[in-house]
Amino acid sequence: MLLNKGTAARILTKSITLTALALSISAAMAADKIPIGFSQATMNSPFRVVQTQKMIDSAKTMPDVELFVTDGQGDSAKQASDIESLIARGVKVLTVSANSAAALTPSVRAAMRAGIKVVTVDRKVNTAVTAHVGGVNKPIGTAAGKLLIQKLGNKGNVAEIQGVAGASVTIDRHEGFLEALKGSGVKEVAVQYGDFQREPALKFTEDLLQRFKPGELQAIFAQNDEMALGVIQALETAGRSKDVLVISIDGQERAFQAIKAGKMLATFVYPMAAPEGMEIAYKLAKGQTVPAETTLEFHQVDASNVADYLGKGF
Amino acid sequence: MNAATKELQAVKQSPYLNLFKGYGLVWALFLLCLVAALTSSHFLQTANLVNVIRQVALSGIVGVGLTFVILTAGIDISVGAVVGVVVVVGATLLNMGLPFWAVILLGALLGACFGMLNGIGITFGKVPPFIMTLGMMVMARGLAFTLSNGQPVALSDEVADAVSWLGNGNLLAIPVPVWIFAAVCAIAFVLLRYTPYGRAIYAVGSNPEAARLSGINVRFIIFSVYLISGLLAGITGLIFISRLTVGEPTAGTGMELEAITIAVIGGTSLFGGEGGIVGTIIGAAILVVLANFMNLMGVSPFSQQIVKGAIIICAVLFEMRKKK
Repeated sequence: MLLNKGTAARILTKSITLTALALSISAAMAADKIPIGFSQATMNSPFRVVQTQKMIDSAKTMPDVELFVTDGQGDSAKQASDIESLIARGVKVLTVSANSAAALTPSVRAAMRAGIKVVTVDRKVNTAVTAHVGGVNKPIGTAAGKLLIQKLGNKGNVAEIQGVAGASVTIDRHEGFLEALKGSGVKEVAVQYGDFQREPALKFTEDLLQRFKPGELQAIFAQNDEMALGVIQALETAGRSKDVLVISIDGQERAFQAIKAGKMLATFVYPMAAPEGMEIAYKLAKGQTVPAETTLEFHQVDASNVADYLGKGF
Repeated sequence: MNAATKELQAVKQSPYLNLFKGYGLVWALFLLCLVAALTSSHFLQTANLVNVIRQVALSGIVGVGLTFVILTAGIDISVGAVVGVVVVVGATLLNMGLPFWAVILLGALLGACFGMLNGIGITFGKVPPFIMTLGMMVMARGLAFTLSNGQPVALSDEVADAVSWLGNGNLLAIPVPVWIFAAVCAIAFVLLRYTPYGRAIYAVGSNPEAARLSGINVRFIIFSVYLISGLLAGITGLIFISRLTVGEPTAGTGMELEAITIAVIGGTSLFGGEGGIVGTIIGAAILVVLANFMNLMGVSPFSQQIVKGAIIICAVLFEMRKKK
């Protein structure tokens, strides 16, 4: 037993030393760069993965920047710890896409107080930051609602599948959607959180189709394409693709293809704020001023113009 | 009777063997810190070290609870979900105007209740610990979502300011959660090492039948460790409410795995009867320092997961080899 323990300790220490050597070489080469942090909420969807990659790619074009990326793994507590680590790391600018607005507010406030410039990317927090860049979600929700009202002839039932509970994106899209429906003949009859993931959306749609017999549900609004694809799958399996319209947000390539194939009514290309977030962070790091709020546009994509967007989705 | 007494005597020695085991781990931790300090100028900075010990405390409290449970050869995978319920209930109560001290008591009590339910199911219902705590995990998580309607329960600003000291405050430059963790560890250490209760836990974990024959109330021991685990999960939940100023129903997801990892890396055997608080503290420190080191070096988050998983497997691998 003594021998094994000694061996264990030796192997552990050897591997740690080797790893450290490898990393220290890269550390030496990274000296004198401006440290910038990007705290990502989660990497569990294509949108997030591509968004992170775009930030990394953008940072690569800036030779005097060293980008530190952390993944909150969908856990607010972990993301709060990530931000604390980035603060301790001495980042000059912190870019962050918050898992949930309220939970990350204390950490962002701490960063601001520590003199770090903070850029919120895509998602907001409930405290003042140096700059925010992203799309505005309420108008997109409203646009989706208006489109549905138009296509359904101002009559019908719609179900909504929301994203991650508590994220500013989710709240805004929901409010915008409801605003469009107010006073119209289209009613929201069911709503559920799908976490922006395909699997929960699929399951919820299967349940919806049981709950609402043919003719009782006219449309489903999924807050992102990933979920919409799950909705479409459930509809096809149940053979009800024809009588339920699907509409969502993001601009995934698969969504464009679904629109072309007539399986989906429309989607709205949602800006990732990814190279933009990095560019604004860089300007701040260099001491330049940037507008407090940079709003990026969204575009409606439906059967009439999907040909222009095919091949450009993520 | 002779064989049982001999077993007990052998078991009594194991707390001291654990100390020896701890030394091997201490070396690993020390070397890890040394390497981190040498390769990153940021590791030894006060802000970073404060972060490290705070993170050790946050995951360590539940780790101590799991240590008690695993020492009896049990398992508790409901701790994460219990944290979720406590943060939701706690945040709701705070928003309703209850004073913080009352919420702290109620939150801890709620955690302990879940622990007691686990304990009752496992001792009297004879439900295997994994199944019992699995069911409790699912129920608790569901309860958290039901009570909160799936939405995070945000504290109003005044309330948030009033309670922020627990999770974010410092006492003598050391984060409050670290003080709580230190207190929890001290109590747990004394309990396990110097009281008949602690010796009984080791006995039950090593050989429940021998323990029973020598007069130990095995049912009570097992019941109590789950109560402790639930209680500590409740306390962690309270710290979370204060730290994030919001009660998210998803809080604590995955915490049970982390707690088990900490206990196992720290030398607590999943088969029971071996291990201790010192090992758990070092296990927590190793994991946190490793993650911190990788963060400081800018290792990609994906690679960090791979390394973490590899360390977990290695730690248990060595334990398995020791068993032979």
